[in-house]
Amino acid sequence: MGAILNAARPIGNPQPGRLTILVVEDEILLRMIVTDELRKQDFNVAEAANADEALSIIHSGIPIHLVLTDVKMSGTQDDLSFAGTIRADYPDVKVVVASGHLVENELVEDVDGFFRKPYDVSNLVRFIKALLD
Amino acid sequence: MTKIVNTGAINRAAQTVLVVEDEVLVRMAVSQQLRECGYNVVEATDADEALTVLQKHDVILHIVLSDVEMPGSMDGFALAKWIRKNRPDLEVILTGSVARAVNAAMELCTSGPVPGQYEPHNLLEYIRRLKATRAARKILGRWRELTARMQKRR
Repeated sequence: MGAILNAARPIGNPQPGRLTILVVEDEILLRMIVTDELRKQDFNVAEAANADEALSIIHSGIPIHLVLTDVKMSGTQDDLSFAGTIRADYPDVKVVVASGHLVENELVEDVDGFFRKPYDVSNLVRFIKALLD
Repeated sequence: MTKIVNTGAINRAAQTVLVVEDEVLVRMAVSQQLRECGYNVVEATDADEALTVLQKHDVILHIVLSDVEMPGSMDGFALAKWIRKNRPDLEVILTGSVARAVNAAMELCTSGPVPGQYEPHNLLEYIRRLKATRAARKILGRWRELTARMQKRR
């Protein structure tokens, strides 16, 4: 039997119809749970621990459909200005913010969704699915 | 061009790999490759994040694939030492460069749940492309900033 050549499908080239979500979260255990749930729902998921990593991913040319971001993160980029950068430079990308520090009316950026931490992961995933539907 | 041929010697079905790598594009690409090969993957940006996961005993892990040079409280060697002492059940693979990380991922794929023949070259090329696009967009961003500043001054 001949050898099988498995060409892995890179993250920037997901299966047709699969949307890509970028999860930006500095708490690794929460990031792990959220990304796991989103992958179970058949989303293509990229992970970043802070805004700098998130911008690296975005600037690498991967098509991102939604950014789920915490707004209290480490890194050089101010958290809210990160959401603002996405809004300004990538207006088609949906932005959902999660925070344990802010309440919704403190947000200066116009976002597509806001979740106060600690949030119910199933609710968040359901919300994201509806938003991208 | 290196081709790694499946030996079929190890059954790694449904195993979880903890990928520890501070260069996000490398971590993302290697992790995605391993997921495509059928592994579960947990991504950590440095040893401190890795330790948070390693100390959670309800997170089932089998393999740690770690970079050597990383920011944070310890490097890959110190992390490997910690794992050997505290989690001797885990297999540790240390990689000192992008090429080594890619080769290690390919070896895992070759003996993994979706065995076959894998091309390290494809993944290396993919990472190179991601980095090149990022560098080009950074330059473009700076140029736009400068142009905007100059227009303000006029």
